[in-house]
Parts: sequence; structure tokens; C-alpha cells
Amino acid sequence: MPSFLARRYAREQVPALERSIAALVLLLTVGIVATLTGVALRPAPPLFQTQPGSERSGANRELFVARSMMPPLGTAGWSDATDVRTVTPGEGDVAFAYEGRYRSVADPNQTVPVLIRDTGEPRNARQLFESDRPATAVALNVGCKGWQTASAGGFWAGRYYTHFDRSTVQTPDPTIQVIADALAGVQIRYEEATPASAGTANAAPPKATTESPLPKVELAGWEPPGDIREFTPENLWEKIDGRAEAYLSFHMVRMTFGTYRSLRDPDAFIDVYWYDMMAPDNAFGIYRAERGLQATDVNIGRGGYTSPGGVFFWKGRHYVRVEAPDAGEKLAEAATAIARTLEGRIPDEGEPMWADALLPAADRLPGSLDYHAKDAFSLDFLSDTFSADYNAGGKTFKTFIHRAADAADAERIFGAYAKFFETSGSLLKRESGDGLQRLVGESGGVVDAVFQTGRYVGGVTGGNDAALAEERAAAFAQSLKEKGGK
Amino acid sequence: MTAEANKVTRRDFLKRGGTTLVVASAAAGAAAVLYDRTGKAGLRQPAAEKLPNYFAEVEHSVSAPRISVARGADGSAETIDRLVRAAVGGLRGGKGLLGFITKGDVVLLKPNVGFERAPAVGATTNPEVVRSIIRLCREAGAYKVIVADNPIEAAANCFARSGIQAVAEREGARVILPARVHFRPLAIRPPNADGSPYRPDPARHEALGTWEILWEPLREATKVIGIPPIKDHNLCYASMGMKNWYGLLGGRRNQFHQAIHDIVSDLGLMLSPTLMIADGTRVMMRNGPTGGSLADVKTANTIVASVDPLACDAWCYQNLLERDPAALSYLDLAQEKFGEQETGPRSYALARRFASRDVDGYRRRGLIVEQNV
Repeated sequence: MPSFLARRYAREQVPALERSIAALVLLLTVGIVATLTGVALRPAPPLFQTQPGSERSGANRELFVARSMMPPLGTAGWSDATDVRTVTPGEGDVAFAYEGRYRSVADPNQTVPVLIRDTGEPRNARQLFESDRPATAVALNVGCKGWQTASAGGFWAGRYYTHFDRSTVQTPDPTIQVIADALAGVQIRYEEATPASAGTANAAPPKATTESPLPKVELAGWEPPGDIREFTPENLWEKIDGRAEAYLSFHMVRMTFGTYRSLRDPDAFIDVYWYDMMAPDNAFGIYRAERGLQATDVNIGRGGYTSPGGVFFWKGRHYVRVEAPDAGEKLAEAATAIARTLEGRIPDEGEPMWADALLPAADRLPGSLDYHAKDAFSLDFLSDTFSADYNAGGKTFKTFIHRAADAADAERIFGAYAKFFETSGSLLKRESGDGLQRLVGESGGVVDAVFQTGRYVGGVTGGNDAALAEERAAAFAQSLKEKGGK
Repeated sequence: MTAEANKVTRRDFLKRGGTTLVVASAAAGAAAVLYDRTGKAGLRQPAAEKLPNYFAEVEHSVSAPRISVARGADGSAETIDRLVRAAVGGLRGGKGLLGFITKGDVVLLKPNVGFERAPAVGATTNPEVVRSIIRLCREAGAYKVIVADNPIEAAANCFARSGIQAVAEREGARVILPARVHFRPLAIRPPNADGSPYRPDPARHEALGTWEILWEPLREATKVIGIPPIKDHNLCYASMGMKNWYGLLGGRRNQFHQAIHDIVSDLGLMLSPTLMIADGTRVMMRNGPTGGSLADVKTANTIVASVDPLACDAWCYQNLLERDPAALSYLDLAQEKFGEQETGPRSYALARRFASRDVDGYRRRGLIVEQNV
């Protein structure tokens, strides 16, 4: 019998035979324990336990996932998703796809086919979005980014890119927004981890991840921000609670904030709010919306001004506020230097606003071009609209233009305009012919003369002279046709 | 040990078995008593707090002025001090805060410190106004003056940048920066008859039932003075006195932006202050509530003191923001809610003697005094 407790153990003089026996006993013990507990035979437990009855495997499991990604639309008269199946398109980085369709109960030929592609990671989904988006599409506010035409829509969220088509649908419902909201509601919205992921390659403020988005400026006595904070549409309210919605209405995707501090005066600081607005139209729109009366134009960015307390400019898809509220000459000088430094870091193709050349030039007030991303003139059916101010012999009015996804979409907006006057004012005239639809309406003392031709809806608003509005709208429509606007 | 010694007698068996049963029963009983049926006993919410009416003890004659306006020529610290004293004094014949604040009161001053902005842009309350009111509280015999707000941004940065922390501490007031432990649920509307929490009814434009609030400063306060800056607001058109209480809310309060007029009018019911002292020294006329450019700011050098929060907002909207109060929805809603004192679910703090949006009526009845300082 091995003398395990013998004194020689303490002296480490264990005979070789006893060492062997001890090792054997140890092995036997481990074997017994393993056998009794079944550890050796049992696979590692999963991180999340599921009910045995709800476990799906193989094709059934994928089908289950596919169905869960196409929830009911919540529109009366429309079925839950049918013909749901999984497909492997083998397209680039696309790993898997789910296909299904919503069907009208009354007319089974009216369907909304849906294709959700699992691309493996957000970068691929975004690239797929960029390549699939039609040139005529307008923004759809869903997921990380979306597009819509009159009959189809698409968006990406996380690793998924979703495309749907309602071209066979003859009823107003479900709208593209309803379909998109339903599908996006079960997808997690997240982007790539790096700051350079917000959009196209030239989009995000930092050009490289190692480079600070708010760099040192060539101005003695100022240090760049030590703490740079970034905000997304989800948390912008944490920085500008109550104001965030104004930026979100212009589709802001990211805001970078930092404070430059004077090395000489601890109380002197300059705040930078750098907004990535997704597209130049939006950057221009919010810049114009916030521009005050006491503004002095400066040659910074595509448009810039100084006003007491700061320098403000837009360039490319970015809108930058350099705020130096304790206005002093030194601070203003520093703010301008910072603005110029930041401006140099923003890429810009310099393409003019498409509407600038289309809006009539006669009697137009210089620098009055505006962009309304949503609810132009407080009309909830009119978005993505440019306008400019006019003064004709002392009579002021605005001329506007909206470019719809296609002619059908433009007709829908024109119809909504007519309905607005029928319900909230008076529709004075409505006629059509020669490829044009026209109306004249009045609401609250303001007269609108509106036309639709091709994919454009335009007109005159903001004045009270019906004859003048009609005349100017007719001339505008004619010039649009001559310029080839279809 | 012998076999005889190991032998268990019937008596031993019964004794041991009985003991075992007693111990097992005790253990089972203890387990039953200590058993947490919900599994979340340790996380249970504390009981909801209730706010008193901070105006209840204030004696104010029905014929005394309810709005007192003081206008100055400049924005210097000296002028602002005179403006505050003149405005407050206008309500009581020049007695300062006497009658509003009594000896031994703990006074909570609620400025707007909501943003990390310099005082000049008018997004936050002018620190000189806060300074003057702290002094007036001291002169009236206040035992303690607390200055608090719950900015969404980093509170320390907001209090520092606004200049309010420095001023308050220099004047001997206690600044409470919000921390997680400072929040408690507040029952804005009483529970249902069966004791269940009241659920606000959106159809009645109700937003608040029970909500988390910055409780720590209110815990010991006996009087509350609101010191809102008057400014434009992107969503509700104006941030003034009632909107200023929004800064006491905790949680994800941005959800209320969906029904902003409902929440602002509810805030008027949530807290019935001792006094409103509106800061109209720098009025942000556009791009609110954050602003950022001095071009957005009108220098009005005006202080408005009022015992009627609703009328105070209406007056400021009309005279400082230069807009028509008839078009401001939350004033309508607040008026309706104040009118519900005898019917329907109402706030604990609702009973307010003076609540009218009819500033023109006040003017006709001589309840508004205006003076240039």
C-alpha cells in the first residue's frame, strides 16, 4: 500500500512505484468522475437555451427566419407574407436571401414581392444599396438608408439589404413607407464600426481613422479638441434636445462635436458642430434654414457667412457651425481660421443645385434659393422641394419646383395639392392638356398656381394675386418644357 | 464501538425523526416566507412621490398685480439686479421676496441650464439673474438656496459653461448636479380608484401619469422659483416658464417630443411654483432652443415676475417673442387642464389660484404693472 502520508513525502522522496500508483489512482478517479457526470460525452451547452419544441433545424429553421423577417403589413385587405422561401443568389458577398410576397386578399394578382439579402456584414449591405438604388430614386427614411421610386423601394439595415416592389398594386395602400416600416421594424439598424462608414467613400468627416476629424489649426495659441463626440440620429437629442428634429428633417446622419480652447485664456473657446447631412441638398437646406438676418457672406465652402458669434458654412454634404459666442475680434479670427481648415477637409464635386437653373430668373431675388426636405410650405405631401423668392413690381411671391421619382408620383402629388384646396381652402381652377395639369387654389388668403408636367410639380405660392400667380406659373411651366424637363 | 452501542431504539428513532421533521418544516416555512415570487423584489420601484403646491401658503390678494415687468437700458450686472428687484417688488409693493419666502425656507431655484452654451446666446438662464434672485432669497430669510437642473448633456459642463455654477456657489447657494440616485418616480396625476397608477390618456392630451423626476432638490425644498429664459423652440414654438419644468424630468424624455404641447401643458400642472421670474434679458428669437449665434438673440433687458405661470408665458410670448399667444396650443391646453380642477383626473399640484392665459384681460383689470428701471 503506498504510504501517501509517510514522512518521506514531505521530503519529496517518493519511490517511483508509488508515483506510478498515485498517477494511476488519479486517472481512475478522473475517469470515474467523468463517467458519472457525463462531462466527457456531453457537448458544451449553447449560450442561449431554447424550448426544444421551438428549435428548428436545417431548411425549416431558415424558413422560420425568413417568415419572421416578413411581418404582417398591418394593412386591411392584405395577407401575411406568402410563398416565403430561402434562395442563394450567389451574388458577390451575398450569403443568403429570403424571398416572399404580400398579396391582396381581394385581387391575388396584386402582390408586393420582397427580397431580403443577407450580405454578411453592413459594408456589403451598404454597397448593395448603392448599386441597386435607381438614379431617379429619392430618399426613403427607413433603416440605415433607403430609396424609393413611385413603385419600388429599398433600404439597408445592418447586414441586410431589402428590396420590394409594389408596381402591380393598384390601391393607395399599402404605401411604400408602410411596407418599408413593416420590414425595417424587425431588422436591427446598425452600421460599420469605423467612423468612415456613414456613407460613400468621401462622406465622413475623418479622412482616415488615425486622423482627428477636428484637427489642429495653423493659429497660435489654440489647441484642438481633446474630447470629440459623435452623435447619430438616435442620440442627437442628447446634445441639442428640442433642436434635433430640425436636423433630422434634413436627414442628418452624423454630427461631430468638439471644442477648440485658447491656450492663453482658459475662458475662451470655440465650439464646432459638424453635421453630415447625407446629401448636398440637405446640407444646403439646413444651412439656409438657420441663416440669420445679420449674416455677412464669406468665401468659405459652397456657401458661408459670419454672424455675431460664429462662422457657418456648407460644402458637399456637410454643414458646419463654428461657434464663438463670446464674440471678440481675436475669437472671430480664430473661428474663421478653424472654418477654413475644416473646409479644406471636405470633398465637394461642386455640382450646382439642380433646381437653380430651372427656376425662372426674371424678378428673382439674389441668394433666395431654399430647399425644403420635408413639408414644404407646411404641406405634408410636398417634400424635396426647391423654392426662390421673387419681387415683381412690389408684389412678392415664391416659385417652387419638386422633382418626383416619375410622372406617376408627380401626378399623385398634384392630386394631393388639389385635394388640399378642396378641403382647406378653395380650388379656383383645375384643367389639363398639352402634357400639363394646372390648378389655381386659395387658402388663408394665399394663392397658389400649380402645374405638373412629366416628373415635375412646380408653381407659384406665397402671394395673393391670382392673375399674377397663374401667369408666372404658366410661364414657368413653359420654360420647363423648353428646357426639356420631363 | 459495540453493536449494542450502535443500536437505535424506537425512542431514538422517534426523537431523531421528529427533530428532522421540525428542522425541515422550519426550513420550508422560512423558504416560503422569504420566497420572492416576482424574482425582482430587490429592484422594486420606490413608491411614487407627490409634489405639494408651492404657492399654497403664499398670500396674494386677488387685486394685487399678477404680472410685474421691469425693463432696463442695458445688460450690466447692476442693471439686471435692479430689474429683478423691481420686477419682484412690483408684485408686492417693493417688498422683495418677503411674503413669498419666509424665514427658514429652503428655496429651489430652477433656471434653464439645458445646454453647454455660453450665456450670451440665450439658450440658458442669464447667470446674473440667478445671482440676484439668490440674494433676494437670502434677504427674505431663506435658510438654504438650491440651484438645480437636469441637462441631457453632461451636467457639469452645462453648469460650468452657462456660468450658473460659478455664480451660485459664489453667492452661497448649493448646486445640485443630477446623479442617478437623485431621481424618484413622481405621481403627477393621482392613481385610479383601485390604486393602480393612472395612465395618461393621449385623447385628453395627457402626457404624464407617473414619471421619474430629479427629486433630490425637491426633497427638502419648501419653495420653488422658476427662472426660465425666454426663447424660440423648434417644436413647441417657445420655451418659457412651463416648459422650463421639462428640465426636471428624467428618463428618455425626448419621447414626449411626439406630443410636445401635451407635455408642456402637463408640466404646468406638475409643478405649481411659488413664483415665476422670467429672464427676458437675452431673448432667443429663432433657431431655438439651442441657438448658437448671437444673431438669433434680441437684447430685451426685461425681467418678468408673476404669480400666474400661465399668464406669464402668454405675456412673454406676446411681448418678448413678439408672437400671438392665441396661436400657441399648449397655452390653450393648459388653460383647459387648469379648468378641470373639479372634474377628471388632475394633478396633485393643480390647485392654483391664478391661472389664466388672458393677458389682455389682466391688462384691462390692472393686474399687470410695467416699469422702466
